[in-house]
Amino acid sequence: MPEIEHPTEELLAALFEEQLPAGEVEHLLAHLDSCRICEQRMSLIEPAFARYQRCRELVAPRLPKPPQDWGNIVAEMQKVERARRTAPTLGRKRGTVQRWIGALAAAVLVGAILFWPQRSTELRADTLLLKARSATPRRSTNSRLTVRTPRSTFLRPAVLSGTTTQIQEMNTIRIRFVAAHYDWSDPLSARAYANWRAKIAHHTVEVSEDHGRSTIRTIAIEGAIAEASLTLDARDLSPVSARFVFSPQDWVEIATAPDSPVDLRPLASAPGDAPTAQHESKVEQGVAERELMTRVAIDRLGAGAGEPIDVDVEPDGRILVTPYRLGQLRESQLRASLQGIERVTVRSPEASERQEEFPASLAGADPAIDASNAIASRAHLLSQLAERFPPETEAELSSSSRKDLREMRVRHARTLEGDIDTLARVLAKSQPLRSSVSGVADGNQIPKALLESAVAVNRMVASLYAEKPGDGSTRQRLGEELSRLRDLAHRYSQEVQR
Amino acid sequence: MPPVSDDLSRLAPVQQRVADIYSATRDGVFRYLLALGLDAARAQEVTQDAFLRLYVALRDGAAIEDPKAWVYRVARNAGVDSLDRVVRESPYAAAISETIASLGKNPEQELIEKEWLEGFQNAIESLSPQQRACLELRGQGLQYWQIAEVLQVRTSTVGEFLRRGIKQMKRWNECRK
Repeated sequence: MPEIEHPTEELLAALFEEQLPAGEVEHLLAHLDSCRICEQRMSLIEPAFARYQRCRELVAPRLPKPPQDWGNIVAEMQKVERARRTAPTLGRKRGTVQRWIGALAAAVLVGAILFWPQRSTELRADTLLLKARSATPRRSTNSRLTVRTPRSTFLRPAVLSGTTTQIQEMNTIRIRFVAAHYDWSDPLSARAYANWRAKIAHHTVEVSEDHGRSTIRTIAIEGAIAEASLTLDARDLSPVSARFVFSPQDWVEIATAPDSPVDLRPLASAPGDAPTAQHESKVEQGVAERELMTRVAIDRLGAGAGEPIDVDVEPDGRILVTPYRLGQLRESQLRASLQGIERVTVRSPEASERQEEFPASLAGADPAIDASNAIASRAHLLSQLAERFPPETEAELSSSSRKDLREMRVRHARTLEGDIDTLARVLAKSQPLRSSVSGVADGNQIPKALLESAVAVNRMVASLYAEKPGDGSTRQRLGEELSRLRDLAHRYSQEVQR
Repeated sequence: MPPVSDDLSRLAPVQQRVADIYSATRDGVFRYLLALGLDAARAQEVTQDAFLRLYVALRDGAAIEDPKAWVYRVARNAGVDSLDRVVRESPYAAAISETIASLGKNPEQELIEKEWLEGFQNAIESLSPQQRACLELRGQGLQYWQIAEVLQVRTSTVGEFLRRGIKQMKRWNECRK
């Protein structure tokens, strides 16, 4: 049996000290994974990790405990099995077993509450849906829905009284909903949503409240729909929007659209068509709508802030996306995520335009510089959103796009506030910062002022390193500017959450 | 169609396997999700959900090389997804502050540990999410290749995250001297 070759002390010491070639690191880590002797040698050579472990142990007793008992997973797995067996049977006997479905749902629900923790949200979701179902519907005969997918946007009647569809893609969507056992004839209803949930063998649910709206989000473990959210107006519990995720790049959003009798013409009668059949009409997506979808897709890829990606709208309505510093993998992810949006082209930058990826050794080199860079990037993104989607443009967007825009703004505003706090903490550790209360810009000017202030802070953080010892002038100005930036970010955050 | 009892008994070994992994791993997954920044209630939901997903995958015949790493990965993905929607302060930060406040009254050992913890607190704040994830998972005893599996990166990348994380830890401890 050949003797195992253990790495030298120097090589082990270098593992977490120097930047070794990737191949060598992989080889060393693979050895450490399989050799207890070297693992112990490593802990003597590099005690920082043992110290980290000790800190973890000290903190452990004060970490929050699970709010409820862990429950019996075997019982839960058996429940999944029983529900899986029952669900297809119910599907086949459609029409005669609706009450069964409710009974099964109730049984599963009661069982879940008794045996499995975390189901108070389940009960809340069920109660909300029950109330929403009994609330008086407020739809007029002219009610319509906007249906949005990554590829296009349509209008359709809220309730289909016939089966005719004219748009190929809409028909495709209908088939997918039917396959998922979701009622496509009246999809934006508590009834359809509750019936679908009752057929899902196992799922988790979240209920959230935001600005007078309650959203029930169900994540299904199995079935064609991976996740479905229904948003209700908290005043009368009428459904206002829904989102169905089949896969990360494949979703359908449905929202109420303004009533319009003009758009709802009966279909030209064709032999065999039901006389009451209504049509579904395709709506050309506006430029602003497509631009927003593009920016949202980039943002969801995690490349919205911090990565130099240009989004240019050409005079003819085409949207050009240019990633200047994305690696090959992320660029192909970007292309895939934008594929469904009409008239969007991802342009590969010229060699001279392409920016180098950050050297790995620079990222994380200094927490203050990292934080101030993150702040500047985020402020830039928020300023761009303000510039591209002023209130008058925002008003023309569909309700789901307005929701996307708002969510993007809120999320980045909150993260920005967190980044500012981090920077202040990091800077205050070396020497207290002098802060001051300053006036802030008025409403519409905030994003611009935010960007100016973030850029100024970023510049000053870099200047700190060039300052002569004993000269505290930059630090003093930085303290003042950081206070101003914090005020602006807070005000902006409040504005967008209003 | 075989009787229900037959089918349930056929699935019993799968259920037992998942139950064993659940008993051994759930606390670690829960703690990892806390370290990611989830609150306790959501962390518990995501943990339970990840194990049921494991069961459904195994009973449907999925080839899962390492169920432990698989569960951590599924929980991580669901956890990160939660964080996208609601930005919460990590419960870790509060636990560290409370621990520091409770230490260092007298015995020398406690004073040393308090200093370590203060360095730890500063370092944790300045670590990137990946660096924190690597340190936490390593702290839970996952092997390097398992961490790579959870984070869906190469093992050398795990090494680089750990190297930077350890560097930050040392830096903050040196600052305190």
